[in-house]
Amino acid sequence: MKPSAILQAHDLVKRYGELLATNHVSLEVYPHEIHALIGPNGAGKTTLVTQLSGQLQSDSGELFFEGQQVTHLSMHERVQKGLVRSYQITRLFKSMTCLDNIALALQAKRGHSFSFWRPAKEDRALNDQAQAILSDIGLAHRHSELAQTLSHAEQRILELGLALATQPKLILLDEPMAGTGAQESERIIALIERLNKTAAILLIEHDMDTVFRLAHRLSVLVNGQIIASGTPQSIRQDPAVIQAYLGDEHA
Amino acid sequence: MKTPTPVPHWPVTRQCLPWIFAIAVGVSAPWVLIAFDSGFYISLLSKMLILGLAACSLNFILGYGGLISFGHAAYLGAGAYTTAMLMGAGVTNAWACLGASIAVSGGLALLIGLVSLRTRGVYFIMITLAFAQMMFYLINSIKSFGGDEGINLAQRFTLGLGEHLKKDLQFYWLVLFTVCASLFLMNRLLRSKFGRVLQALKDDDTRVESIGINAFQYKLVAFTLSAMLAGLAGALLVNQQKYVGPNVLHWMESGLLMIMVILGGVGTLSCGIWGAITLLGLETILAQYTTHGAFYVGWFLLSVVLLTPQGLSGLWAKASASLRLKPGPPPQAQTPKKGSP
Repeated sequence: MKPSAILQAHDLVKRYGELLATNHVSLEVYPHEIHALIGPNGAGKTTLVTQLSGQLQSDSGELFFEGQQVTHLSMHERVQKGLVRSYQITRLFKSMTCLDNIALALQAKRGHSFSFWRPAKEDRALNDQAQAILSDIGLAHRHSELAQTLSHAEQRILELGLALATQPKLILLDEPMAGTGAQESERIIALIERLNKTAAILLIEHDMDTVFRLAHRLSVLVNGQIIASGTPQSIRQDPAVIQAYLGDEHA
Repeated sequence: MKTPTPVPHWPVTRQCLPWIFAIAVGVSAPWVLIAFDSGFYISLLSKMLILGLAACSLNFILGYGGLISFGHAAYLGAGAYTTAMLMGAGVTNAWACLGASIAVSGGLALLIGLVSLRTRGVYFIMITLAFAQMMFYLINSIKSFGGDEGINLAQRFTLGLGEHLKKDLQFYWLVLFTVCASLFLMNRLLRSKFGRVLQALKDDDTRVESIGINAFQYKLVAFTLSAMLAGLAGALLVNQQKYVGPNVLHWMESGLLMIMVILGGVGTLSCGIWGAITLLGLETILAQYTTHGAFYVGWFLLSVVLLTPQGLSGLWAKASASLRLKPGPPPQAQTPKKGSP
């Protein structure tokens, strides 16, 4: 194992009865890189992300984050260390305002949410910081709208904003562009590049043009197994990958 | 790009208006009753407020935190029995009794919460119900707790001012003060950072975990706080009736509290109070005309649930919105807090 990787997954396994959803997956993500995880539908990409994030415990295998063993940490403990996921299906706090959504993530990072008496709205520093993040992602004008009233694309962006607000070192992005139009995709791509300035990214994405445009390295997951890992060029030319996956679309 | 807009503050007067109004009604109500020569209803007024407080405490976790606890009577009952036992043992100081009731109910909720909050949805409903029923049968079978006959009190506790709260009116003032203070406390809690987490938990507790918050811890604290307030209500209840029986722990009582919450409008701070006043008021009125009051109450509940999903608070918001003339600002801020969609 190279010591410089920010995330090292070693031999991860997840079983659902007889089905090996994650079949002895080993994976490394390096600081500052965008590492794309691609694979056909049902390959187990989301399952793997769910394991990496800690929402689902692995049946066996080990996970290291910044060299520390995190295999048995819960999701919120991993987030506190800087390993954060976003969701394919937008999961926001829909009955709360955009500002409250971001402020919640910020107060979580600061770790002092056990404040019972002082009204949350009176914490100017926190609210200013939340507003700054909203400006950053281009939703400043929406600060007092409820999250559920945003358009789909705006919800996708706020979803990324939530991840950003937790000040991650590595973000697991599960199909950030799912269901958005071309114009909005550009907005999200710009945001991913912006996130990448401060954090490594493990990106799951179906759109190959986007993947090859953004990713520094790729791993290909088929039937729960990583069949290839490497630079975009080497993946494009890998015969196993062409046969298993790219062949279907690019033949 | 716009400069960061400060978070809008509510004008102090508007924020305080509902409180001032409610306290004014609460203070004048017994005098109105006395003026109409119906002073004996003051005791009913106290009971409405006490059960209303218990329902509000349930709403604190149900309406805001999304935790559907179906065993809330356990904490009401624990508080009631704690005070009854203490007074039976000769402790008549109200502060000691109230404090002990709050502590016992809170402690009980902490233990039950440690187990039950690991489940979700229907399982959580069932497990909280199961624990409450366990309590019911336990109390029912222990002789020193009065068994199925319960415990009678000779008199009410004292405030340490040398006077038993013999008169219903004196007791009513204590109840009114306690209920107002509790509502104020809940209001503060809900607007704090803790309250923000609580609201987020209702929307999506897994997402709360995924931004780095230990959801279980927050649920446990909210669950315990809610039970402490229910215990406080229990301590008052036993003094209001000068009696406590195991039925206060029965699941029907939990159901009743839940009906009060739904009737008043889930997720509105004071919904429990309105629900309790309506339900107990209706029962009392109907009892004068028929022995089948429950039949009509059932129809009433059904129509409220069908016609106004947000309960009486929703109805009130709608009514005051339509009374307000059209050209005004959009009628959005009537209810103090958001209702469930």
